[in-house]
This record gives sequence, structure tokens and C-alpha cells, in this order.
Amino acid sequence: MDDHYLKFDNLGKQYGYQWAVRSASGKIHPDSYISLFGANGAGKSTLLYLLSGVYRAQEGDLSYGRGLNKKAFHHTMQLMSHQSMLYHRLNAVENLTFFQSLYGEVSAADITKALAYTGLEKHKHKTVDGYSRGMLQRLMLARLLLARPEVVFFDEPFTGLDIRGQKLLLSILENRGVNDFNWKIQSYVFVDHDISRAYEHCEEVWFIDNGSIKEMKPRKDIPLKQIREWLS
Amino acid sequence: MSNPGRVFLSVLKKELHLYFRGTGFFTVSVVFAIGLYFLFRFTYPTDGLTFNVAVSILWAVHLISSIFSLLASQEWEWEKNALRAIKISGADGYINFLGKSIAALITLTILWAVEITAWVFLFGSPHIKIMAPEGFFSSIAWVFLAQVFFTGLIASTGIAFLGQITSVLALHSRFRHVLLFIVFFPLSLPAIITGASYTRLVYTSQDLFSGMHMLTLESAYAFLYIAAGIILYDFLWEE
Repeated sequence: MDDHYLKFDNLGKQYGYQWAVRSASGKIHPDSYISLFGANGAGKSTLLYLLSGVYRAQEGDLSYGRGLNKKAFHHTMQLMSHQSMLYHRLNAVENLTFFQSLYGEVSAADITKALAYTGLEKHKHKTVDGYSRGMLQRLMLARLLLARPEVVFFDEPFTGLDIRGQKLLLSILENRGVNDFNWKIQSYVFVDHDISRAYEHCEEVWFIDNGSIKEMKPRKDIPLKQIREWLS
Repeated sequence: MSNPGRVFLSVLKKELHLYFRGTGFFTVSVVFAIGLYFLFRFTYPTDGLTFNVAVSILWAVHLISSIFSLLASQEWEWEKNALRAIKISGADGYINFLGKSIAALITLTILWAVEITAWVFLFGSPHIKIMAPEGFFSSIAWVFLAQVFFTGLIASTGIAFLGQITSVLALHSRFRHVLLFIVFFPLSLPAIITGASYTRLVYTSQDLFSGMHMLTLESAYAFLYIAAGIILYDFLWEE
């Protein structure tokens, strides 16, 4: 049996008359840690939004492995994006309580622990519209910790994070989860504007250009220099 | 795993929290309603135009309050694309639709109760002695009030459910506010006109139980919008 979380065949999505992603195919297996490279407007975010179910593909198919159906896959997956996707008129605790309730039981103790871990404990009763960019990213990180997803799509997750926040996220990427939360990331797809950082934290390199995936290779087969050449 | 019931209750609770947080939306709607009533009540002689337009004012105010609530609800989904996080969780669209619509209905019903109370004090009825000799509403006034409340409740059901359909339809458009009005306004008119006609009938007639067929028609509109939302919402919230 082919052991994969997600398989996508010839995915396509257009904005107006312009195809942002076209004929994208691939699989996400357990223990695959992927960095997705591409120039601005190459279709990286659109591809992640298609894979995470934010967008519906206008072409192609998504199918799920490991005995998962669509709903079960969504319960094992999360997207951490540069868009906060939070309710700005709710405070941190209310946001986390609401989003956690979409997945199952809500534990107030877990929420407190996640807020402490991400350094937001002091701000937990402030409505989110008063948060800085970095604080929003931290709150999304807290949402990830509570959901404990096996598959994560990271779309520019370092946006706005200060040095401490960056260290926190780097440790999650390096350890592939957080032991204190019994969270183990089985697979991720990572998009980052810092090419070296993205290269360091992957085992597989995907390269996307003009909406099509041109390369999918193990990192050892593609030197960083090659990626820089593709992007320049 | 989550279950649909829990997701529904979470969405409902979250929406009510947002509607009543800071009471800004509620205060604006009530002040606006009472302000408009005062304007019409004291501009014209009580036996003239005032009684002729009283019902229209009541319903126009309610329609505008509904639009305020709809805009508020659309705005907090649009601000930071929070709806996307709900999609990522794999929640069914129709559950989100039901939660949001029922929260809107509860909010509109509370507003309607405040609106008709202020309205009945200011406009009374040409045929009903509103105040009892003891100084409170007379028994016939309670029947009248109950009928007006009930027709408003049915119309609000239609408006709340239709509102969520049109809101999500317009959400990702650059002209979302304009598109919302273009789609919502004509579709809401049948429910509003039927509700207003029934209210006018009980307001101007001494037979408080005539015109029940209008309530049936109003209920049919509400049912249509509920069914359309449940069936279509999963398609409408797609991007």
C-alpha cells in the first residue's frame, strides 16, 4: 500500500483568467519535510491553500491515504500562514477556545499552557485587534500547539516574529514538534523568504515556477547554489 | 473528533459574543430606531400622516438594523479571513451557516422587541387602547403586540438566513458592501412587504386575527431561505 497523507493530481487554480497553479501533482508522505521554493507570484501560497482546503481546485484531484477521508485529514492538518485567520474582536483565549472546539474537547489548562509557551500569557485577555504582527504569529503558533497536527503547511510563518519568536518556531521545525505538548509533526511543507533557512530545514526540495512544480527531489541531490540560480 | 452539534454551538456562541461585544452595534441600532421614530412622531399631527406611515417606519427601521447586523457579521469574517481557519478544520459549511444565521436571528429578535416596544409607546394604534386603566398595557394591546412580535420574528428568520447567504456570496468581492445590498435588498423585500402588510392590517383593523395567510406566506419565504442556505452554503463559501 502506498503510504501517503495526501496525493494531488494535476491541480489547477486560476484568479480571473490567470492560472496561479496548473498541473501540479505530488504526494505528501509521512516523514517528508519539504521546502517549497519559487519566485514571487510563482504559486507557492496558492498551492498550500489548495492542499489545505482553503481554496477549491478548479482542475485536478486531491485524495487521501492512510485510511483517512477528507474530514479526518483536515483534523490531522493545519496551515500556519502570514494571514492570521483569527477573529480580531475576540481575545486570545476566546479565539483559541473557538478554534479548538472545531477539533474536539477544549481544555482551559492546555490553552493557558499554549499561551505561556508562546509568551502571550500577559496579553490573553486583550482583543486581538490590539496585537502586533509578531503577536498574531505567536497566537497562530499557540493554535498549532493545541491542534497538534501531523501535517503542517507553513506559509512564511516567520513574518513579523521577533528574535524570541523566531527561536521558538525554529525549535519546532528542528524538533519536528514540541515534546511538552506531545506534538510530533510527521510532515510539513514549508515556504520561507529566507532561502538558506528553508533549505536547512527540509529533506526534500520542491521548486515551483509559473504555477507548475518543476522539481521534486531529495535535498542531497540539489545544492543550495542550484536553488539560488533557479530563483535569480 | 469534533461533532456537528459542538461545532454549531461554538459558532453560535462566537457570533453572539461578537454581536454583543462592547454593545456598539446594538446601541447604534437602538438609538437610530428611536431617533427615527421621534422624528416622524413629532413632525406630523397624530391623526394625519403619522398613523399612515407608522408601520412603514417600523419596518424600514428593522430592515436597516438588519443591514447593520449583516455588515457587522460580514466585516469580522473579512477582516483577517478567519473563515478560512474554519474551512481548514474541515467543518461543514452548512453547520457554520446555521450557527451564524441563528446568532443573527437571536440578535435581530432582541432588537425587534426593543423596536416594537418603543414604537408602540410613540405611535399606539388608531383602534386599540394601548394603556390599561391601571397604567400598563391593556389585554388587547398584549394580543396586538404579540402579533406584531410574531410577524417580525418570522420576517427576521428569513432576513437572518438570507443575510448569511448573501454575505458569504459577496465576501470575497472587492465590492462586497455594494454587492451585499444588490443581492440582499431585492431578495429580502418579499418577507419585509408581507410582514409590513400584516402589521398594517392588525394596526388599522379591529379584527386582530384576519390576514393569517400573510403569516403563512412569510413563513414560506423564511423556509425557502433556510433550505437554500443549507443546500448551497458549502458551494457558496468556496474560494
